[in-house]
Amino acid sequence: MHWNFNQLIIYNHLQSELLKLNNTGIKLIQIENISRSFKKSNIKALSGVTFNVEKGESVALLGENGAGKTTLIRIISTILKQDSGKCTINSFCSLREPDMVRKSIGILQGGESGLYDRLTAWENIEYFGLLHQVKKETIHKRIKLFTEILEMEDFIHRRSGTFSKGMKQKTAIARSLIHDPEIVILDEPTSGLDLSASKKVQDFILYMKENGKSILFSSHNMPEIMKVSDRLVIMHKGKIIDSGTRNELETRYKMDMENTFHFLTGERR
Amino acid sequence: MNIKTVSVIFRKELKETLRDKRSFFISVIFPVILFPLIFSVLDANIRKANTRIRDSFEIGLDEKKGAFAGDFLLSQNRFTIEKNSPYSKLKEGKVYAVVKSDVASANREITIIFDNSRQQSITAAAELAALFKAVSESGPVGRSSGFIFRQETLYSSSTGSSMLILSTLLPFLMFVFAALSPVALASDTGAGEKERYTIEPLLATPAAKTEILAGKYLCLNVMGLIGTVAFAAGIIISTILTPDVFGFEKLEIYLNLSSAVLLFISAVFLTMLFSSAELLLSLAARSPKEAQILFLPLMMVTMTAGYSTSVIDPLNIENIYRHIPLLNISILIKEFSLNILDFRSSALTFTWVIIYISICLLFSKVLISRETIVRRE
Repeated sequence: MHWNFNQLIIYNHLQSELLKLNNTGIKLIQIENISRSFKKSNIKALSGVTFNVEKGESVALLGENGAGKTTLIRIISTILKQDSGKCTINSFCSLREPDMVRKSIGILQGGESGLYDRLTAWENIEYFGLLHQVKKETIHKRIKLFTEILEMEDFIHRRSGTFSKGMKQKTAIARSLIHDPEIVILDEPTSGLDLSASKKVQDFILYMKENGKSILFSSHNMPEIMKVSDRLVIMHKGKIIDSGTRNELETRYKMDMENTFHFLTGERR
Repeated sequence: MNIKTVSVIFRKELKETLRDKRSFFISVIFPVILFPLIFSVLDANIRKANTRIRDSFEIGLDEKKGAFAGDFLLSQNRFTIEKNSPYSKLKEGKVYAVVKSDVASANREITIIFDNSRQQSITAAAELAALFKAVSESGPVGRSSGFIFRQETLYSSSTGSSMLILSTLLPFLMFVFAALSPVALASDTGAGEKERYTIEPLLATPAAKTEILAGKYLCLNVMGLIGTVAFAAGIIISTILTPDVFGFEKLEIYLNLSSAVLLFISAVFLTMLFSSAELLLSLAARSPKEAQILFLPLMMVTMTAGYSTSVIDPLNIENIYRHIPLLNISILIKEFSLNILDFRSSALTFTWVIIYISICLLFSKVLISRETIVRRE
């Protein structure tokens, strides 16, 4: 039986509702009092950051440039080590069991997509699947699925050196999910993309969410955050200044989300 | 063309270059310090060898009773005379030349036999020839005058020139091949990963850093060896097609199987050594461009080590040279190219090379484990 993309979304939505009933309260990302400084540049990037992401939840990290979002994401993905505090991913400690953490997460780094120019999109994705020790047949099945969902048919067998930003980002997203991780971390996934590519990526985030993935993503784009996140964590100068659902925050500050954000991160702070 | 625009671009490029202290040091200060240092050591070595041949050296003597050469040479107080198995000793490098003097011969012949595959033996033979010539022309009438003077070579002319040229060129060429072959890939595999921002997703996979390094190092070795073989094939084809360019009368294959195998093993070790060093430098660089700059000192030292061996007598090598990085393997290649096989010195040199490789890989592991490997800070 062949399902189209919309049918898949509905099916996955029903499944995810069932999952939510079963999984509520299971914390897949636990960040406890994390601090991190960069001695060379004398910057305190993170200071006592604490928050959780539950199974099946989509959490947006919101903050201006230099707020510490990328540093936090790098600590979660074990690229950086925290000076103090505890980071537990899928019940694995990021310092003691970094390999298990890396197996549990799929990460899309911010900025450049980080593809190998002389490899095709297919080869780029396959390479990372193999590094995650996924079987070749499974990798190929998944690449075909991602190709269909992300509409990559036109360029999947082309070398990535010639790709547009949107093509690169779609390839990078597929690459980060090839090992079917439980936790997906996306650092500014739609940054620099045109409207059409942004929408496709946002739809894919929703698809992953419906599929029961736990998602932590950072973004500057308020409508995107509203569209795909269950909860917001607002960061400013390395600290979490507030968090909650959109309704909770708007009710608390008696203004819409955009103004709430500006109010919280404004000069008064 | 607007000169002002050219000037603006020129000044910006210059400013940017001079602000990178590391690049400036490597491309300007380093050669100014390095070459005088290396060549002064080299010069001391050449001087020592030349002074030794000018002042005194060992000669093998093959003379019949009543011949005058032995007495004459002893009277010079410059030579150590070796009468037992002089020809074997010449082959082993224990004497620089053999003087054959036959008074019983109708023509009163004096023959100087020298090793035409060794520069030092050629120089020694020239010294002896000058000495005998002077005596023959201006010496007192008697036993030392009126003789026929000849020179003979240990090997045939083509074998000797093949050996001399190959033993001089081979260390240098092998160094250049092994150092250059992995360069492009090395700058891409470490610094290129940083520049393309692929290092971060790579490090976020469960692949251990040691595994990442091992995979990269293996590829560098394979590509380096393919490059080295391609370079060597190009040179061999050239020597067959145009031997004159290399100074051969005709190419003579004089290498025995053991020497050929050991030369191949040396090429593998050299490639492994340069691959590890270049991987390390590439990981230390922030971009492939910077990696190319970091490779410069390595190339300078490599060329110098390869060249230096040409002035070292392969049969009289001081023990200290066996412990000097690069020079030791360069000497070993020279020895193999002359069919000189010494287990102890080969084992010592290969052990040193393994140590150098291990050090480079260890530092590479340290570099890839550092957080600064992820460029965007």
